[in-house]
Amino acid sequence: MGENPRVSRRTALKLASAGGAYGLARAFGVMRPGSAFAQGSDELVAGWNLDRIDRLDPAIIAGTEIMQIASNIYSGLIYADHDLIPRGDLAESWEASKDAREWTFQLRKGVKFHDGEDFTADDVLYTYNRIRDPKTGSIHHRRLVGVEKLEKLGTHEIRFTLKSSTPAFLMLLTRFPGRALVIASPKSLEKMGSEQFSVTPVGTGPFRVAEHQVGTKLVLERFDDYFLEGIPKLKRITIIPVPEPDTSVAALRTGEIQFHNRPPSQFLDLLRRDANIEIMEGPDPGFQSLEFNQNRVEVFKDARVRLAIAKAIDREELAKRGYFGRVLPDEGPIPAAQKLYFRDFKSQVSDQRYDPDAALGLWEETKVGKLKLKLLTSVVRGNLRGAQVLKPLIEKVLPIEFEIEQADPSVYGDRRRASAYETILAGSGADIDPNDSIRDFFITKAKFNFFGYSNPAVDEAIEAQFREPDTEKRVALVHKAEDLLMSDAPSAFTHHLIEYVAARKEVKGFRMSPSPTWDFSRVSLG
Amino acid sequence: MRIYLLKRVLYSLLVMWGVATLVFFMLRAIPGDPVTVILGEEATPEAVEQLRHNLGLDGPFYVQYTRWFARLLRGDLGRSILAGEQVTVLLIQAAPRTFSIAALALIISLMLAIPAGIISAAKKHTFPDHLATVVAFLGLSMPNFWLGIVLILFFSVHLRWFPSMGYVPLDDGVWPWLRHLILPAFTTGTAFAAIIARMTRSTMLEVLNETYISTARSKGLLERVVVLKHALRNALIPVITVIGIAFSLLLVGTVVVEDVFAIQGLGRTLVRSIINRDFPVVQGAILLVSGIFVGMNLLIDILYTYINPKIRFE
Repeated sequence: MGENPRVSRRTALKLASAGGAYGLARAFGVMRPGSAFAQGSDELVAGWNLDRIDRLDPAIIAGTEIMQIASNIYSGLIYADHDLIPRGDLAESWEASKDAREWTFQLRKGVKFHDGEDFTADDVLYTYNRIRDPKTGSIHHRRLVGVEKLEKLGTHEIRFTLKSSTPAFLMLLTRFPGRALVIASPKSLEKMGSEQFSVTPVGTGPFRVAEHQVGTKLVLERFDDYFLEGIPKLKRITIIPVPEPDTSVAALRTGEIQFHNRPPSQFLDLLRRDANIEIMEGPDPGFQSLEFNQNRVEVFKDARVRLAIAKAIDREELAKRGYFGRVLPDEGPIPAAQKLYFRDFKSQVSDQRYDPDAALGLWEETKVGKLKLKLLTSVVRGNLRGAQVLKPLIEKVLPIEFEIEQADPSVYGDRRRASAYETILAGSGADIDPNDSIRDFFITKAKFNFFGYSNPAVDEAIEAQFREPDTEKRVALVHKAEDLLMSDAPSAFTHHLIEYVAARKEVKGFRMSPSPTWDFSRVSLG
Repeated sequence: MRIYLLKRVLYSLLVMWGVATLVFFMLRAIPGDPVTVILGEEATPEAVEQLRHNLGLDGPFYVQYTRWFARLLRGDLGRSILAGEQVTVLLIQAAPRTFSIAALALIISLMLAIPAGIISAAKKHTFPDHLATVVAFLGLSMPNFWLGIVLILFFSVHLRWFPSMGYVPLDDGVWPWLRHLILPAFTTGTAFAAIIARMTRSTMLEVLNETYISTARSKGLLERVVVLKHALRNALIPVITVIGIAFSLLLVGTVVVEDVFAIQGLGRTLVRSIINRDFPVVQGAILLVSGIFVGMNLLIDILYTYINPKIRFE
């Protein structure tokens, strides 16, 4: 009998460590800059500037980042194209009565939900009733208050009757940001309940939800029965929430993510220097401003006080230092994205133009003297950096002392709605129509008028543009309303955001839209 | 021993209940409303009221508490207010990620810290001791978000050795799992390693001055045997206590690292839920974390008896 081979402990250790080192070396040798998420030739991995993707139920959807994603899962009756012109989505065609009170829609036939159900006029009625039902707790029902009734005329034909003439009615029906009628599968909603439906929603869009691990990834898969031929091109999109700016930039550079919906502005130059990455940009449809709360600060009832502060803001400096130069300084609420209505104030004279001497002169006229003000910002999504830069800019010109308050998002929202702030650096987003920019904020009963502003002349000017069906005349009326707003200064308008997107070179066919619909249906990987 | 264990387990459950109850009421006492976070600034008072009702947030606190506790006894932690997902699912997904980071961080740090501590003590005031001291202080002073970013830049962006973010479950293979964990675990473990190294050094120094060590030396034992067999075993007792507590802390202390490496673990889940006032998730996560703390302490107490037979609980 032969003796068993004997290996001493020391030899065994040596062998083990050599093996380990070989294994490691081999592993490093074959290593690619891979990722935790599947990446095939038709599988896109996208990073999203969010903690997590939540509340995908269209009845309560809020926040543009979520809308950008949801626009790939759902369809609306209408969508706004890249020039913000309304186009048919689930509606194939439509006709409005002369007084713009009756709107008849022909719906697309042969459309299927991701759960295999057919789309018909009943689904529009279901969505309409669900949004209006107070039990749903939807925030979009306000968009439908002008609707007197909705009737089903056939399996694929519906008619809205409005309480008054509403020329911009189609915009309310856009997939996003209109949101009034984003069609979700009634069958799946009933089956899952709205809570689970928020996690794994079912619509008629180009992609269906294949998997959703909240906070980790949302996997969208090509919906083969999508109603438009030949799209979507991608087989799968994995969307990963990456809130940490440095990480998202590193992941873009290594190719672990190929697309980022909102790359951090402080790293745009670095990303631009990378030959494999392309930065796209477009104007954000919204405005930012310093709101003056007349409910809390008595002196804000004097328009001269408000205008003096508005004139004391060096917007170029604010943009440069507060926002890394990645915003568009402006003195009015109408954003560049609303091409038809936008005016470039650099080439015109505006009442809110930066003029420190005039600001101080106005201030002295009011005899307010020294003033202490609180400026509310939010810890997470607020404008903290902007507020920190704005504070000394105004303090340099006027005898005002700002105290910056920071609040958690849950407290910030509550305080804003309860009008429990003195000033706030905030604004609007996803304004695809002037009504979103000015009517929602500055008429006396506006839904976002938390700051106690009321001026009958402004109300009248805004309502006049709202009712005007003729586009050319409407443009003039919008400008008139905007002029009034700038001189009466309910807020000091400061800037418009610029939307940025980063994509690696292999991502082809992505086009930015001023509306929050990041459409991946035509994207491919080349 | 059995009665002792039973008592300890019962006390532990009581502590967990106390913590969960305290957190329940404290969360509701601080300002902030999750419904506002969901609905955004477009929220109407009616929508807020309705959603609050739908989510069971409208009754008096004691009613909400009874409802929550009754569900808890049935093993139902409820659903996340913000995400709509079941809290149990969120925790089941998050816990292995954090456990993996913490466990690997612990292994890496012990592998570095214990030998460093021993060498430091055995070679007091020599170059290896000074070197270990400097490295330990460096480890302690580096903020881990900064270290994480530097590691990502070097090992992910430049060398392309490790991924910069994400987590893959162990089911997808040991190597892919490990590859995603090395950077976050190293980042997490650095400060911890520094503490353990310093602690091992000081306890070793104390033990090495004991009379039984002198006896061992005078018996002519090899210095290696004296240090590793006689001194180390006694020196490790306080170190193990710290390891136990620190491991529990690692489980919730990984939040910054989880953010940097985009890993939805327990720490990140907990902190984000607190910021957004996602009550059910906070309560569920706190319950789990307090369970881990209490369990770890229990485990450490039991471990003592094995390391030092002189300690008896009868």
